[in-house]
Amino acid sequence: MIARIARKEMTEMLRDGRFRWTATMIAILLIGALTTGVTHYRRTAAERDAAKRSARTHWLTQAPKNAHSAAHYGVYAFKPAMSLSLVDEGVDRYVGVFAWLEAHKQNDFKYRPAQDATVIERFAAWTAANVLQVLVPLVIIMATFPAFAGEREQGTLRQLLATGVRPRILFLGKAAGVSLALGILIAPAAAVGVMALVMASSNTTLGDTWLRGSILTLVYLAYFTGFLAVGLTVSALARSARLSLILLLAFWATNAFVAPRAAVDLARRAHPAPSALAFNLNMERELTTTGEGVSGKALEDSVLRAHGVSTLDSLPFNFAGLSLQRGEEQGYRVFDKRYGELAATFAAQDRLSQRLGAFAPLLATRALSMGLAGTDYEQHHHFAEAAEMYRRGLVKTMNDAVRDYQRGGEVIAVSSDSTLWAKVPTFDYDAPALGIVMGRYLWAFAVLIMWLVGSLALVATVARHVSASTLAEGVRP
Amino acid sequence: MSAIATEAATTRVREESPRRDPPSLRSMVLFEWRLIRAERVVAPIAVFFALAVAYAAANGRSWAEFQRDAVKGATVDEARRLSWLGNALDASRGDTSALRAFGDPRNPFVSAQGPARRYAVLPPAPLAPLAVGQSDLYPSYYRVGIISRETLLVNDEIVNPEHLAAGRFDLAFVIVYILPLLILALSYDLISADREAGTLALVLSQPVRLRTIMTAKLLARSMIMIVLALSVTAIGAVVGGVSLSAPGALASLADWTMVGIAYGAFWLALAVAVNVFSRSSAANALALLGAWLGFVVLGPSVLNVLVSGLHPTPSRVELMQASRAASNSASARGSQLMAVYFQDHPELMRGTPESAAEFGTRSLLVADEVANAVRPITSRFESQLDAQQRLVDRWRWISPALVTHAALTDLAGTGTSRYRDFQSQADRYIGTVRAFYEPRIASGNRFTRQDVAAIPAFSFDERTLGPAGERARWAAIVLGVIAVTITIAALSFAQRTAQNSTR
Repeated sequence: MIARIARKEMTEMLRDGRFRWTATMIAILLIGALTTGVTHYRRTAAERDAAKRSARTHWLTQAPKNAHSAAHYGVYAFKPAMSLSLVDEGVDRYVGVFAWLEAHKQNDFKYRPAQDATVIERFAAWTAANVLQVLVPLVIIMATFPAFAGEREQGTLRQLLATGVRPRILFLGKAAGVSLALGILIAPAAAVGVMALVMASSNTTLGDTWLRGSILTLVYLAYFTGFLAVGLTVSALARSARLSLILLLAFWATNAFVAPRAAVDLARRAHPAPSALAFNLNMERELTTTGEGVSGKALEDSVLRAHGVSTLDSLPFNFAGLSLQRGEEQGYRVFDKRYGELAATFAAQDRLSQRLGAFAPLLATRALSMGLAGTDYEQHHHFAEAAEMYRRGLVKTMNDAVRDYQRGGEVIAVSSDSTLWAKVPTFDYDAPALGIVMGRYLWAFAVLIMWLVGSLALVATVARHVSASTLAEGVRP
Repeated sequence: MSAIATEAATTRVREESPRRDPPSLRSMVLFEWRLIRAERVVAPIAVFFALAVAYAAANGRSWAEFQRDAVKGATVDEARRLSWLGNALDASRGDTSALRAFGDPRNPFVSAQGPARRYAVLPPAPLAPLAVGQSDLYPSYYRVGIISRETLLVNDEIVNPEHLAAGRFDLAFVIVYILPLLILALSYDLISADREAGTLALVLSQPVRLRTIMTAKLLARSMIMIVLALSVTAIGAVVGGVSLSAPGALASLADWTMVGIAYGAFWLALAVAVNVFSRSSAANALALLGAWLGFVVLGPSVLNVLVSGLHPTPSRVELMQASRAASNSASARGSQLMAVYFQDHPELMRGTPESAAEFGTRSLLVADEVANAVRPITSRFESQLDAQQRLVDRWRWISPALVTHAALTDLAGTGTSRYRDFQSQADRYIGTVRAFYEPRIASGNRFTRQDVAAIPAFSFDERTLGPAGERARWAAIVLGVIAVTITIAALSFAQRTAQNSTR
């Protein structure tokens, strides 16, 4: 019986021009988004790889100069492209692309791609993730809203119930039918997605990408299943197809458009971040105040005392190198504190938004999708931290070279060449392991599971307890 | 519900006019209004809308305040530094030692790059609380040094990138996204509900034309729509804290309201048209939803892909590499090994290989050389962005939502054009500041309190709000004309097919 109902439902849907047209449209949009995603990813990846190599060349081939000057010259760190960004660009367009790693300063990542675009960039981005998060639920709603309500209006529901079929069987059959029809229409897009991944992941660790891709698929399946369950429930209880459609659309629009923006301002107010001006001024002030006492006369005196000598020239090493490195280390404390606070604020904002996913599953799904694709803010921050660590290593190598080059306090004559440059390793970045990423999104996972289990429980309760007569009539408001 | 009410309404018409004159349009609009009020969905919709508007207005206010505080912080910081600098210069008046290249405010180059830096600030427009627009993406102040690249690169506002990606819940969002949905919820079954309830045939048996009935229904909903649009303006102005006394604020507010109404009229007209051409309420709802998706979401995304595909901006990564190469060669030419060192570390300069004046001038020259070398790429950025913008301006008419969004953010002074204008004015200001310092640096004279007082200040020349108002009025007129045309066409078509429309 279930199979028969499923086949009827599926055939009916596939014959319905409206559904066929919409679903085809969405499949095309999805395939288009994946195609542009792959193109964009490959171009970006090639560009960043080339930039990384040329940054290294610039470093290695710089003219002989004082080691500390080389630290000032510094290197640029370029964010590598993540292969799953072809599915979900996440915040890629809203974070800077590279940072200058130089002595004394932790620089921000500059040039957010969205700044080099027109305003429609922010209006709507056409990515596979958007199609999956916003449009596919709409197709599910269009497929499920008339499942019971439509048949009720045509009068066939009453006849069907007269055959003595149990509501539970009806629910299962309809769910199976709708899923099959959707599956048939989404299959080509899924195939393109897999192909895209194969093409894109040629130069990354394949295993991880596939694992992430599989979890991503499960996340989206859970998200969709919830919509299927809610759609069937509303359709079973609403008196008319019209009411069922309106209720489901209201939920869809709230979830897809209202909730994400509403969550932004809630999170911003619950965990306010400082303005760039206040942030920078505070940092400048702290760098000046902590800098006092570790450089200049005080440090000079304490070092002279410790080595029991009276002039800098009689020290066994070059004082300038030591002094510069001390200054750096004071800076670290300020940077760690300030940037750490900022990252903690953003993380708190994002956690709040994930929890709000209890009201709008999109929020949790979006977070997981970005996280698994490696395009969320956390992973940007992870890269920024890795770059900062690399900067510290580089600057220390240079300062140590100054310290060890010659005795005394003067640094002017110090000159170094490529043998020293090569002592600084290449900057190779490893993205955080999948386990760490998953651990960060426990809330989102919990919320998504809640959405899945809750919606399934809802439809199961309705299917088990609804009487044939209620099902035939719909619930009177 | 609707059937009974309509019946009651028609009965009353009959009682009021025993000679069975056609009912007046006014009475029909009033009946329609009663019908709408009796609908169970109306109260929740009104409450939801009021909450959304209030929330959006409060968000706009808090964001505008955040920005105002930042700007105030800039003013405070500038005043503090300048007064400190004046005092320090006065105190060192007796100091006749040679200028040092670092940490010596008497050296104009040091002051210009440090304590004397003034801010170029973009003042928020009066309607800023109504639309966040691009104001969270572009900086609205620069701390201006004498090297353009360094100044313009430094401060992006601190905003969670996930928030930038999601967009903000402001009044522009309420108008562009939510208002159409509410209008569609009220009008997707304009005629189809009566047809499905069977009351349409009954009503048409009266001496009244289908066109008149539709006009009455449309007028009642237009009034609701206008009230909604006006309430957005009113709540936005009050809760959002728009300073109405600011010059041009009232005119901008009027333009804003007109754009909102014209946009609402477009969606209402679309609902009428779909009701005329289509059959069931559910089919209407789907068709209108499709239109909403097409105009609000898909149209802009596809346009975005086309625009950035046709006029791609050059890669910033390339720009950076070019600038790196240029600065290498400029520095190599400009100085000796030791001098390069001092360029980076003047504070360690003990024996003076060159005067502080020479050092400052040479630094400027090196910066110029780098700027010249990367100018072809930066100007390509500008020209590509201009080309993109022109394309968007031309093609935005494919989506009334885009037209409306652009008009609303431009009126609020948070659109891209005003920020780009600010950026170019700031860039020009850097040139002015630099022209002020250049002779002072080269001469090797000391920087004095009088000099500090004479540093040119930035004042923003408001050039985009006027044209924005004009463009907004155009947008309102065009949208209004489209709405009226669609409505007239739909109504006349409805009359011709009135015979079929009861079935």
